Amino acid sequence: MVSAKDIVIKPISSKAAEKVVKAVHYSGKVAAISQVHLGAFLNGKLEGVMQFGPPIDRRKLLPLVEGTKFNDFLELNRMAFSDALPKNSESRALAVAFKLIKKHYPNIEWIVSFADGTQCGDGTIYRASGFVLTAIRKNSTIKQLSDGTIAASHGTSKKDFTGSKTLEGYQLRYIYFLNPKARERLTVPILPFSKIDEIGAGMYKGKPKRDKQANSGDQSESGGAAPTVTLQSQKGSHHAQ
Amino acid sequence: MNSRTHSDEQVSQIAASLREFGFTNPVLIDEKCGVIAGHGRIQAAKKIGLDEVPCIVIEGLTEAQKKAYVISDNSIALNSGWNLENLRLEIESLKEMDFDIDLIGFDDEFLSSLTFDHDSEVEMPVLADGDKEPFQQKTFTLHDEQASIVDDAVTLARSNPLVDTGLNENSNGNALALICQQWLESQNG
Repeated sequence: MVSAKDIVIKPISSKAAEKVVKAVHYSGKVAAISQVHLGAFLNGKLEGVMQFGPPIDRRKLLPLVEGTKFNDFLELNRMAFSDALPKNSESRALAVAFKLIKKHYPNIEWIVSFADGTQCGDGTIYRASGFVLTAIRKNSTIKQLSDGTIAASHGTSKKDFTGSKTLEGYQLRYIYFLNPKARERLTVPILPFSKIDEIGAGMYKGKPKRDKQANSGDQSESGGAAPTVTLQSQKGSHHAQ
Repeated sequence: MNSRTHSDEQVSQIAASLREFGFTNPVLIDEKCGVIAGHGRIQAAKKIGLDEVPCIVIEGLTEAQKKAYVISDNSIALNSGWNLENLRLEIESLKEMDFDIDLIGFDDEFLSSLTFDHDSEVEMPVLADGDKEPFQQKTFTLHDEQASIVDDAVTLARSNPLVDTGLNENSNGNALALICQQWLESQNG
């Protein structure tokens, strides 16, 4: 029987990664800023990708961990896994990806990622992979344009947002510490995972959660490593923002 | 009359399907042996030398209904779509079973677009580390008249004794920073 341990993670080209993201990720959109593209292979076949790169708003995120140098953190920009991959693949793949990043880029101290609680999920994969939750914000940047397409309105976006509608929901910010000591320099509080349901930010497979107990469990005790079900898209594939 | 077209390539695809799977979908005809649905299958049957094909006689249709059915039999089928991810997985599964995927009716270009190709050997890229250099290049678009004003101001400011040259060796940058600084100070009263 195939298990998550059968997955092999190795670097791939941006072109190969983009094809997977376009086909499997719920947004269908690639993050052009990504620099490190890691493929998840099962039986020699590419079935998933994780894309890492600098955040668009790097200067805003830099102070989250005091003393972080400009190039010493990354964002997990995209994560898209096909249904061919077995259960718990994402956590396994992230664990291997983090080992690779630590080995090749020893300067990288932490990884930030955002869960899209307007269209996708509240970050189940991140919580299962040892990330800490550092912010839950009402969405203000993901918008539906007048032609129906969905886009993020950040500083570099060239889309016309006239008449656009801000999507209901939340964005959740997670951080994973490759250097455990960097956690001591975190300048914002670590939020308990139970906060997600407390404020009604829970989302799974693109649908708001109704079960208020769904995200119970305090990460400060569990380290966020509690096994949880994988996050899946409406398309039926696994992904993160 | 059939308004739907069947290219030679498509007829060949149907013929290959008939050989592999048999004639699984009978031709629909009216009481006078007029073909209502199945023109492509008949062409393919001829191509592979079949003398007879299975038919179902549809009785009682008016001429208008027959004409409409000929069109709708094709057009309604065109309205369906594909879940491309599920399709990709099914095709991968067929390949693993050594099934000839040329028989499923997609051209090579489409099949290739569904496959996740990968590079056999890609190295981890080199990333910058540590702190960023404390210098930036900025680009602005100016009208010729504006460009002329900026040029004049920068040229004049370059020789101003107040220019701070301690941070930057670029004289234009230093001059521009002085101009902006003075403007900001004027705004603050």
